[in-house]
Amino acid sequence: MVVLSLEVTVALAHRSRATTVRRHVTAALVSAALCVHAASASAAPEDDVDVDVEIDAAPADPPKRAQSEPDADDTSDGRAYRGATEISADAQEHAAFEAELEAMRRRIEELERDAAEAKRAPPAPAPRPEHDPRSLRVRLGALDRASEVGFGRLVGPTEYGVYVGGWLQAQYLWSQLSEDQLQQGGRALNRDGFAVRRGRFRIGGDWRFVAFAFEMDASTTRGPFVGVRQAHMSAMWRNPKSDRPPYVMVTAGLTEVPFGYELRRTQRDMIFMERSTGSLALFPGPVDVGLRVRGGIRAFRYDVAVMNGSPLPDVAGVTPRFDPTRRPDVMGRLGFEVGPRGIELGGGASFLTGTGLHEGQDATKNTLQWHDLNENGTVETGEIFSVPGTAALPSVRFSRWAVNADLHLAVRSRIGRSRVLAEATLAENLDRGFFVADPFAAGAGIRHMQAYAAVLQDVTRWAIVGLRYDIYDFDSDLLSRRGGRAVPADSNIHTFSPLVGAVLPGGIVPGVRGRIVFQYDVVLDALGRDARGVPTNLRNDQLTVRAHVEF
Amino acid sequence: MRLRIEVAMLVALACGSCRDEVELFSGLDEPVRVENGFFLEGELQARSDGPRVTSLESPGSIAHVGQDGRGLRGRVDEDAFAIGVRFARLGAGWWTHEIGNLAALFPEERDFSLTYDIGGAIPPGLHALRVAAIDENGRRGPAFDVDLCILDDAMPAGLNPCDPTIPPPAAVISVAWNRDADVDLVVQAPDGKRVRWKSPTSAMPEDGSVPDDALDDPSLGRLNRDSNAGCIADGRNAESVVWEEPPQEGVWSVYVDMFDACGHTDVTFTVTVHRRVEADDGTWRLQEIERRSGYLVAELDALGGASPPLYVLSVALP
Repeated sequence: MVVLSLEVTVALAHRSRATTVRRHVTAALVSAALCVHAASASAAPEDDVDVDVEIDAAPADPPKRAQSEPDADDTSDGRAYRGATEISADAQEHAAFEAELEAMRRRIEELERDAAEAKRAPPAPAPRPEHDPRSLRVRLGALDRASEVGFGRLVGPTEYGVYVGGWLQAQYLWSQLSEDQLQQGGRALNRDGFAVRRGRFRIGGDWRFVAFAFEMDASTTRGPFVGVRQAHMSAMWRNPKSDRPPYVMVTAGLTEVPFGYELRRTQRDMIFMERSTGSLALFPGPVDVGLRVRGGIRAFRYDVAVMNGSPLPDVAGVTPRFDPTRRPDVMGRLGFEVGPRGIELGGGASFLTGTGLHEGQDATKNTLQWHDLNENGTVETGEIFSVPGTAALPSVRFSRWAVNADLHLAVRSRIGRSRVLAEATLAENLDRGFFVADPFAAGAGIRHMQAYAAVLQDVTRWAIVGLRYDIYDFDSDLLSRRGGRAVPADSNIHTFSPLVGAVLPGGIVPGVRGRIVFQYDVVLDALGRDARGVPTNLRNDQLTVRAHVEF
Repeated sequence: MRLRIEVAMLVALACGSCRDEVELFSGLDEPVRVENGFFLEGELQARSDGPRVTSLESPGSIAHVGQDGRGLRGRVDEDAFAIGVRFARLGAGWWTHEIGNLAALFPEERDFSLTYDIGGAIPPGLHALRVAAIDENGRRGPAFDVDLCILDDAMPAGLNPCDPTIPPPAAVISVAWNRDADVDLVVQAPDGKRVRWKSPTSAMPEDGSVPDDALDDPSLGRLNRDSNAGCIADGRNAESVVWEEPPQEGVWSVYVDMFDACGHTDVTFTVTVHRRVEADDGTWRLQEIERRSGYLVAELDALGGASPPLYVLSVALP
């Protein structure tokens, strides 16, 4: 447009000097005006206005041709005199032309102003195209892109490129176990208080054949803590339909353990505060280091992995250890996902086989010990005993296994999305979180059973309610050894977890969404003991209020 | 030329097993472990024409499961290069240990001295410790066996494991656990007296203390130790109450208490009750009559004895 205005100015400077010049200028100006007008009209306010590209070519040539005409001030050849005679003879035509020219000039100036204003204004965002499942790329918002590539709620691969995202969970916890005392060893018995449960920052990259993700956690659950929670790279063969998972995706590094349904869900998307009791016991953390192969063909889903077998603890501040056994664990899940008529139905069966280690003991040195045999509180002859040092005891490897079945259903209605989840696990020697399984200490293999059922109901976009019941039997064989005697035999832990929450859906605050959830856990177990020492239910209910925000 | 080099490299790689190399074993799961020794799998095969062990000195014939630092000294023929040690019928291999200089007082013989540990998994009883000399070519000479009576601290049974004609204690209640935590056994007598680390016998105190003559009663139950007291690991992780003679008749209740988790998150324990029985041939043995396993969780149970101990079982004795 700038080019056009300069050339027009040059043309106007010549307008009173030669009729031939005027005719060329007229043609040029008309042409330019039409071009500018057309460009302005085509640039709708919501579109990205790009008038420079549209108009600069058409008016450029005519002024050049005008300048190539002989100069009217050149009197050496007498043509200037003949031109003046023609003007005086056609004064009326000249006046009309002047008026027309003046109108065009004003019109051009208006168009120039409009174009300049349009250029200064920020470009309107391009309209978001509808998702085309045949495309390899799915356009996702920044929040969506912070999730896993190609799986889970976002079944399609994201737009290619590097992205960042994260989420923060701040909570207040109240527990019936809390007491203003210190435990033997100095640990506080108080549990009530505010904490940053999870503060995740994730950077990832996604391209046609490869992807990576690196996720850090910063929290204060057991004091300030920063640690890695995801670090993996993937190579994949994508499904041409981008709303389907890849045919094959090979992932290496620190990634989710492919077992069951709950464990594979990202903690960002979990509405309940934590995984079920049994899941936390069998898998202290949802991620482990290893090699994972997964994918999907039509409704079929597969996900298998070879991993160290030492999941990274999810509780901040717990020191993880390297897998103490040479044999890796093998686990996997075969399942299906279908979605007819707004219903999402999925399920699968999982397995795990691996090894654990009964820990030996360090060697010890000789010590002396006082036994107050006569209970008079005084050291006397014959009450000092030697305790000779011992040699180190060896560690012993043992095997562990687990099988799992899961089912989940989601239905959309006018109220909102309704979800039903159910999962059950049978395992042996797999508890690594609560009552760490040691078959050599117990004298036999220790069997576990874990199950839960949960219902979640969205109430419009703004609220959610839910209820989960879970049961964990940390030693199924403890019951069979009662023999008519009162022994610590009830190894079941029942937990009822109702919740209610308010949701900030995506789109209300640009780039952010979140929720605040209240959850009360009613726990029934046999971890307490009465005055006789007989196991009984322990008062260990707890209330958690958690604010969750994603960016 | 290049092809030959490549073939040679392939042959060298393929023939890894041709090379003289041994695998490194910690030997931690062996019934005997020799300090500064090297463990080799297999039998300690002896040959009559190999070097001989000419003398052997062992500090005692009674050893305990898990005992460390036991000494073994002796002499071998001058042409011996090393000494091999293993239990005759236990373990997966043997230990080789270097020998010393020529003996000053015994011409054509060499001294040797080594220290060994008894493994924690060895069964109590009489076992033969086998020693053989080895020459420079690896030939092992005639075996020299030393009988050792191995006793288990965790299950006090006197000398009965080695000599069944000797009666074991009349009854033993034991608890063993799997981590170096301070766990206490508590046994409540029919009269209400609790045997525990604070009051290690079943004798009732009089005027603030237990009379000396009461302690001489063999029917008293006695706590054998306070394992891992104060979180000083003693390697036992076990405590027992022992009655040399049949105890007071009645129902005895057994509890366990986690005094201090010592940094651990949980403990798996097993309580056993043994009673003395006599066989028809005049021998004795301890027979297990009860066994219970359970868990103690540090977060809930490690309260320094402030909470009631966990009730495990009751048993009628004797």
